[in-house]
Amino acid sequence: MSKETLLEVEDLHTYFYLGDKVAKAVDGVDFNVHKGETVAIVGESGSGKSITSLSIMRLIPQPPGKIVSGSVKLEGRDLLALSDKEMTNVRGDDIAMIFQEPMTSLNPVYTVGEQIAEMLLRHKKVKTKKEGKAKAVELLQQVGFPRAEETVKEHPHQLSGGMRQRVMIAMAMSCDPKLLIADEPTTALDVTIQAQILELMQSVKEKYHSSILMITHDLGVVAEMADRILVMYGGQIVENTSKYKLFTDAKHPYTEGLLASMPTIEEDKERLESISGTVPPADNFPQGCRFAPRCQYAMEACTKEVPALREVEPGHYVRCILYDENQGGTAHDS
Amino acid sequence: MTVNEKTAQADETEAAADREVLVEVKNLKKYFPVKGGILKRTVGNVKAVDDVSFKIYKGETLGIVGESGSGKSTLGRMMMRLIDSTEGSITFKGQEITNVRQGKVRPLRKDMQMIFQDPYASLNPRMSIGEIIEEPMVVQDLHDKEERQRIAGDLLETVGLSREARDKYPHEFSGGQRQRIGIARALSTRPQFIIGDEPVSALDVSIQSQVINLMEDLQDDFDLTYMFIAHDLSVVKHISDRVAVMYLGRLAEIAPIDSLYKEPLHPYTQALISAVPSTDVTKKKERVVLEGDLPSPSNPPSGCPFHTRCPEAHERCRTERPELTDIGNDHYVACHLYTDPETGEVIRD
Ligand SMILES: Nc1ncnc2c1ncn2[C@@H]1O[C@H](COP(=O)(O)OP(=O)(O)OP(=O)(O)O)[C@@H](O)[C@H]1O
Ligand SMILES: Nc1ncnc2c1ncn2[C@@H]1O[C@H](COP(=O)(O)OP(=O)(O)O)[C@@H](O)[C@H]1O
Ligand code: SF4
Ligand code: SF4
Ligand SMILES: [Mg+2]
Ligand SMILES: [Mg+2]
Repeated sequence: MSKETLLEVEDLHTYFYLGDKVAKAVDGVDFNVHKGETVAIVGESGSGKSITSLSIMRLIPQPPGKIVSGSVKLEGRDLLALSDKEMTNVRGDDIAMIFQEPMTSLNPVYTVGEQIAEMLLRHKKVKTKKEGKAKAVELLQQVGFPRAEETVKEHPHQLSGGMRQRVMIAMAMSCDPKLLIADEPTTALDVTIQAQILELMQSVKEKYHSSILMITHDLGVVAEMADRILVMYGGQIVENTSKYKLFTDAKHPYTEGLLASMPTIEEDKERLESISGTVPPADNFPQGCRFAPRCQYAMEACTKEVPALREVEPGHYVRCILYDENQGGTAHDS
Repeated sequence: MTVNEKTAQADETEAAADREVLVEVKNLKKYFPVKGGILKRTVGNVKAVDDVSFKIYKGETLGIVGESGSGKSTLGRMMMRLIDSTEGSITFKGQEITNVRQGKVRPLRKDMQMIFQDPYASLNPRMSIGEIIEEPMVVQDLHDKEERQRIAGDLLETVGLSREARDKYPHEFSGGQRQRIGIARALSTRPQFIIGDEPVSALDVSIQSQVINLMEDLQDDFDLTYMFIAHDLSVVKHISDRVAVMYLGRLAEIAPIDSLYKEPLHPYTQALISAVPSTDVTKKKERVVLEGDLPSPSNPPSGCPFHTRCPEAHERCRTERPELTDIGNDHYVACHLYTDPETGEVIRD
C-alpha cells in the first residue's frame, strides 16, 4: 500500500454554542488517511465521531455549530479555506459520504433512477437525463441489483434498508471520489445484510482505488474493515494504531476497557469486564484526562492537564500519561 | 407415531427428571391482517409468528435471535399477554394463560414482567422514578405505601443507583441508567419470569456490559428465568443457556449454546453466525454471504421459508415445509437436510 497522504486533519476543534454552554464536540483531533487506506473511527455515542466527519465535509449546522480552528487538507488543499462554491464541488467529486439511514438522504418523491441521473447531471458526469438514466442502471448493476432496469423505476420506500444503502453506495461511487466517508453505514441493518454491504464496500474500494473513512461504534465491523483505527473519547482521539495492534496490544485504558467489556462470538467470557460510570457530556468535560473519572489507573496527575497524543511505538499513538516518557512507562503493562 | 416423535418423547422423559418447565408455547401463531383497497378490506395476513413451539425451563435463559421482522417481539408480546394470539397455546407453571381475558391478565403480570429496548420511550416522563418503580406494585395491590417506597429504594440500590433517585425524573438519567430503572421496575413484583426485548441493544458497549452483568447477578439473586430477545449473536451467546433462531415467524433451530454456536445445523443459523464480524484479527474467517433480502412475511415463500436464500435448497424445500425435529441432545432443527424424505427418520452424520 502506498503511504501517500490523502487527507490530513490537524488540531480540529468544532464546538456548539448553546446558550451559556459550549459543547466541545470535537476538541483537538489529528489524523491522516493514506491513499487506498481504510481508517475507522470508533467510540461510544457522543464521542465526536459524526461531528469529525461532518467537519471534514463542512456540513456542520452553523449556528449553533462552528469549526473553531484547525485544518483539513485533501491532497494538500485546505478545505476549510475554500469558498462555499468550491466546497460544493469537493463534495461528491472528491469526497462522498454515506449515512446510517439512507432514507434521510434520498428524496421520497423521485424514483431511484431519477435521483441518480439528477446527481450525475449536477456533477457533469453525463450530458442528458436520458444518458443519466442509462448510467443509473449500470451503476445499480455494479452494486449487485439483479433487476436494475426495474429498480431504477422504484421509489426509495419500496426498497429495503440494505437495498437503499446499496443505492447510496452506487451514488457515492458514481463520481469516483478519492475518499468515501461512511458514518455507521450498517448500524441499521441486520447482520446478514451488513455482511453484504461490508463486502460491497470492500469491492468498490478496490475497484475505484479510493480511501475510506469509516465511522462506527461496532468493534467487530472495525476488525473486518479497517487498516487503521482511531479510538475517540470526549471529542479527542485517545488511541491511533493499526488494526492488528489495536486488537492484540491496545494501550489506552479506555480501549482496553472497551475490548474487555465486549462479548465476542469466539470467546467464552465467564463475566464481562465493565467500565464504571458514563461518557461525560461534551459541555462538561472533566478537568485533565477526560477518561479519568472512569479509569482504574487514574492518579492525581491525570486530573491536571489533558495528556498529549504521543507516539509510543512507530505508528502507535496513545493519549495517556502512563505512556509519557517522563513516567518511564511505569505501572502499566498489558 | 413417527420415529421423530418417539425419540422426542424419550428425550423428554429423560430431561424432565431434572428440568422443570416454567413456560411452554405450543403451535403459537399471530397473524396481523393486511388491509388494502379503498374499502380497507383484509387482503391478506402478515404471519408475524407462524406455528412456534418451545419450552423454557426454570432458571434458564433462553435467547431468541433473528433478523428484523422475524417475529421476536410479537412472540414476546403474546407471551406477556400484551396482545392476543391468533392460535395456539401458552402455559405458565402448567396453567393455560392463552385465553385468560385481557381484563384478567393482572395476576399474571405479578409473575411475568418485560424489559424493553428503548430506555427513553419505555418510562413515563411525567412520573418520578419512585412512582415508576412502584406502579406495578400499585396495580397488583401489593404492600402499603410506605413498604412500596422502601422496596423501590432497595431496588434502586440493587440495580446500582442511589435511593435518592426516587425523587428524580427519567430525563435526568442516561440510557444505561434508565435501563436500570426499567429493570428495577420489572423486579418490583418479584416476578419469576422476565422477557427482555432487546434490553441492551440501544446501549453503548461499556454500558451494555454493565447491564448484562447486572441481569446475570439478579438472575442468581432472585431465581429468575429469562427470555432474552436480541439480534446481537455475541450478546445472546454470552447470556443464554439455549438459543432459538427465528426466520420469518418460524423457528429454524433451537439448541444449547455450545452446540448451536459450534455446530449450527440449519443453513440459516450457519449463515447468521458466519456473518458476525470477527474481532479475532489473527485468523481469517470463512464467510457464507447470503444473497438477497428477507422476504415479506405477508407473502412468505412456499415450503421452507428460507429456500429463496438457502445455499443448500433443493426440490423438496420449495414444496414441503420442514417441521422442527428433535435430532437428539436437546437440539431441534427445521430443515430437510436432517430428515429422510421417505421415512422421515433423522439423518445425522
Ligand atoms: N401491530 C402490527 N400490525 C401489523 N403487522 C405487524 C404488527 N406488529 C408487527 N407486525 C409485523 O410482524 C412481523 C414481525 O414483527 P416483530 O416486531 O415481531 O419483529 P422482530 O423480530 O421483533 O423485529 P425487530 O428485530 O425489528 O424488533 C413484521 O413483519 C411486522 O411488520
Ligand atoms: N447540532 C448539535 N447541537 C449541539 N450539540 C451537538 C450537535 N451535534 C452534536 N452535538 C454534540 O457533540 C458531541 C459529539 O456528537 P457526535 O459527533 O454526533 O457523536 P458520535 O460520536 O455519536 O457520532 C455530542 O456531545 C453531541 O451532543
Ligand atoms: S491519563 Fe490517567 S486517567 Fe487518563 S487514561 Fe491514562 S491513566 Fe487513565
Ligand atoms: S429445508 Fe431446504 S431450503 Fe430450508 S434450510 Fe433446509 S436445505 Fe435450506
Ligand atoms: Mg454519530
Ligand atoms: Mg422487535
